[in-house]
Amino acid sequence: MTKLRKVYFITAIAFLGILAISPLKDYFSEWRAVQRDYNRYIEKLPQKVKPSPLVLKQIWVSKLNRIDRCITCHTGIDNGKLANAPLPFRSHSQIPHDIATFGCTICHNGQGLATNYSDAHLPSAFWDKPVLPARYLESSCGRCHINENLKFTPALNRGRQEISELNCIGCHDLFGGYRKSFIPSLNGIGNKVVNRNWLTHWLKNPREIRPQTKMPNFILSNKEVEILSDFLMSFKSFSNGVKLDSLPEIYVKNKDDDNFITLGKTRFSEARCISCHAVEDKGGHLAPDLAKIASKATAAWIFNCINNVHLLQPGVEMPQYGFSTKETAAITAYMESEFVDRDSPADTIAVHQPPANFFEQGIALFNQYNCGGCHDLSSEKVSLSRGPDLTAIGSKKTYQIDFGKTNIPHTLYDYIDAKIRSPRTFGESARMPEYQLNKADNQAITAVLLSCQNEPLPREFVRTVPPPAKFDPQGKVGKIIQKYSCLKCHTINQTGGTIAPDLSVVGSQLQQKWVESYFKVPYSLRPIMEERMPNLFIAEDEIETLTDYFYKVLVDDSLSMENGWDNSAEAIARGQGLFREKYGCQSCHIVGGNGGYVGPPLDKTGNRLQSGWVYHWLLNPQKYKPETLEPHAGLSEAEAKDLTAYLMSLKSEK
Amino acid sequence: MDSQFWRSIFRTRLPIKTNLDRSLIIFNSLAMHIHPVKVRERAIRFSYTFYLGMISFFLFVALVVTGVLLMLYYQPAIPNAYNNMKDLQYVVSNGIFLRNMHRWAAHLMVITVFLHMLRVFYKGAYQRPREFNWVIGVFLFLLTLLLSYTGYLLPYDQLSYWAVTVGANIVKYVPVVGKSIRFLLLGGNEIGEYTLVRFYVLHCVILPLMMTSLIGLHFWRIRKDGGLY
Repeated sequence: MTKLRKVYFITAIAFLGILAISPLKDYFSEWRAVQRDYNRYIEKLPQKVKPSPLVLKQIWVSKLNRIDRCITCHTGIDNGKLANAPLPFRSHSQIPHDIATFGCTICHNGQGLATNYSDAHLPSAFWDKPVLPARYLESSCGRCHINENLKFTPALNRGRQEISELNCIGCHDLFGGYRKSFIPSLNGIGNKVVNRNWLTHWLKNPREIRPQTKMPNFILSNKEVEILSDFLMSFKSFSNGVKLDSLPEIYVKNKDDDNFITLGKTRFSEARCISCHAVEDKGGHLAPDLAKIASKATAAWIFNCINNVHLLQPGVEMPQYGFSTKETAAITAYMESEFVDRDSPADTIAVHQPPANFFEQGIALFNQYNCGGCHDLSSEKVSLSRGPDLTAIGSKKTYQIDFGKTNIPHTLYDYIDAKIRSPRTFGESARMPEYQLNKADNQAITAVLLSCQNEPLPREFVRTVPPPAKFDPQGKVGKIIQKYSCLKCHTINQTGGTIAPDLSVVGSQLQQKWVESYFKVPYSLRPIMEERMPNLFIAEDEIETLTDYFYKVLVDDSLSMENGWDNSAEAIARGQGLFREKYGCQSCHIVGGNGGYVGPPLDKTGNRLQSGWVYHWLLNPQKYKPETLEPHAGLSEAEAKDLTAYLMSLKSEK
Repeated sequence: MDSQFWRSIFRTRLPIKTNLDRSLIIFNSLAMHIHPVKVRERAIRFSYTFYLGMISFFLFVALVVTGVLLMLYYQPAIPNAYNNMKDLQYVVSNGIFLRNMHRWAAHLMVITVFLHMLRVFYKGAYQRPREFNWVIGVFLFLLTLLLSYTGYLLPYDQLSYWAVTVGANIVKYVPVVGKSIRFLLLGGNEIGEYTLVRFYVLHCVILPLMMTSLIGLHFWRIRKDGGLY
């Protein structure tokens, strides 16, 4: 019996010892050590910082149903004195949100409930939302700020723009009101490209022919390329049954004449084609590079395109120039002579005979890769086979993802990033093409996709900015604006491009005479700017209609000048004094041949601007154009009036 | 020692002098009256029963104690259930110890109950007059498994979700009533908050009560059927 008692005694002691492990583990937990480190750290600081009591701390955000214990270790999070402290004691950078009402994990992810480093930050079998790396952090902004482009979120804004430009919505359902951007229709492509050879090269890898193209590489097999080329070459007629006009006689006769080509070249540069089209990377990037266009498109297509691009490509943003047939033919001749790819492989096969069932095979491939998601093609057999719905991709659980044979870390953001970078690595059957984006763009798109989540957020947290109402002028004016694609560069009522000035209240800003003359000979207002409005060769009656519209509709009544303002010689003199002495405007603006190059020269202000506009602008430039460099000088109303009087007196003699 | 007060609490008179006094201690104690008055010495040797029944019972006691403590921190709701697990792990003092103890005791109990049955089977202890106690034992084994199964859902993580999905789908294949049983079990057609509540009540109230009653009966029958065999 004594032996048995000994056994009892020893096991009882052993059990007690084992039981003691648990409270000891509690006592020596990681967060207590961190808080002790913190208290030791702040003692060494020159400024006085309150030590932290050794307790667990948490932020309870009841509206979001979240408890974040991050501040247990991130002790100095709201202490401005610790801006330069090492992590985890450092204070949070300036943000527009209150940490106490938002908590931490709503933006940073991670396991807010955890109280040790690895569980709180890293992915594990029990938590698949690890702390977001800084490069994707903006995705959290996008969860609440829906459609809202904030100045704090450059990557998110960039990603949204990329998604819109790459037309991801062609295949995927996405949240955020993306609109389809212009993508060329494939109708008539058989009559557009010079030969089938070009098409096969293009389909194999579009970036090889034009590095800036938005078309991704579908990594097609040679057989698929052949079939698709045959299939596409069979589409000879353009949208709405339009056929190419044959080249005019004047072209056929003169196409090799040097004078004729020179005329084309002159018109080409007068029309400022390179504002949008680059030629060998010199010029704008709004439209395709023209350096090799003659090796791609037939002369007849080029001629028709310049003549009336909207017939061949409905919806294209290229303006339709008012050239005569002779001028158009001359430009065609110039392009045919100049913009040739000297290295392009010759079409080796003289007559290519497509296989018997090329159309069925071709349409099958066309539908399989969902080409119709982007390109318009008039065939009854085109059907959409869209990719996965991505409206809640950011809420996808890690266990739902098939990582295949890749060795990337098993997190959602790594998956999305890798999927966009090389879509086919997760399985042979994937159809998604390769976009070959740079790292920053890839991450920006990933951030946007991560922000697409279906976890419901309280109403007061979410800010949805409705997409701005689209300005869509109708009638005669609408037709002209569409014909010259004014809104590609200019904005009217929040619709349009940002390259050129906003025209929403142009009728209250500029003088009618000046506008009319500017349409005829556009020039750059700023001497250092290369871009200027192209000469669109707008017809007289169209100019009349447009200016009529400008001065009847695009006006802001609040910009008119009060009656009886003083434009006497004294006022002008006072204004000149203010200009030269008090405000030193000449440091940025040129008047009479001297001055700076930042702002536009003001020599002809009196011919160009309306006094009411000048006056209101001077009072508060940022009110009208928030990003303008012009300082808000805080002029008094009397000063602004005198300055206006002076500026309006600056006229050319004519 | 002989005061009215002492006698009102303890029924046995001290000091113990005779064998009758000794047996009276056993008779009069709630905890010990389960033992027969006389036990053969070989029957209490370790190698005789391997104490498997008693080990199972003590594990059950440990499970009740830790389980009640765990109930203080647990809500059968989504997503609170999983967050409560996190709280136990990260903020409740010794919470992870409590949880692990409950879990390991449950695993061990399934094993010891099974070994206990094996022992009874190979010793032939299920034979007359102990046939009915074997039947009770089988029910106790089933209750042990059911307690294990219902407890599995309560953390409400992926593992438990799918385990219960599979379990509920197996139930569906019971002829005729399969779908109704599944509906009854899940409190609906799919696993959700009501399933959680149902499993919670089963795990913490219904099954433990049945278990306790049957354990009492089981022990009582051991005595009445002639002690350990």
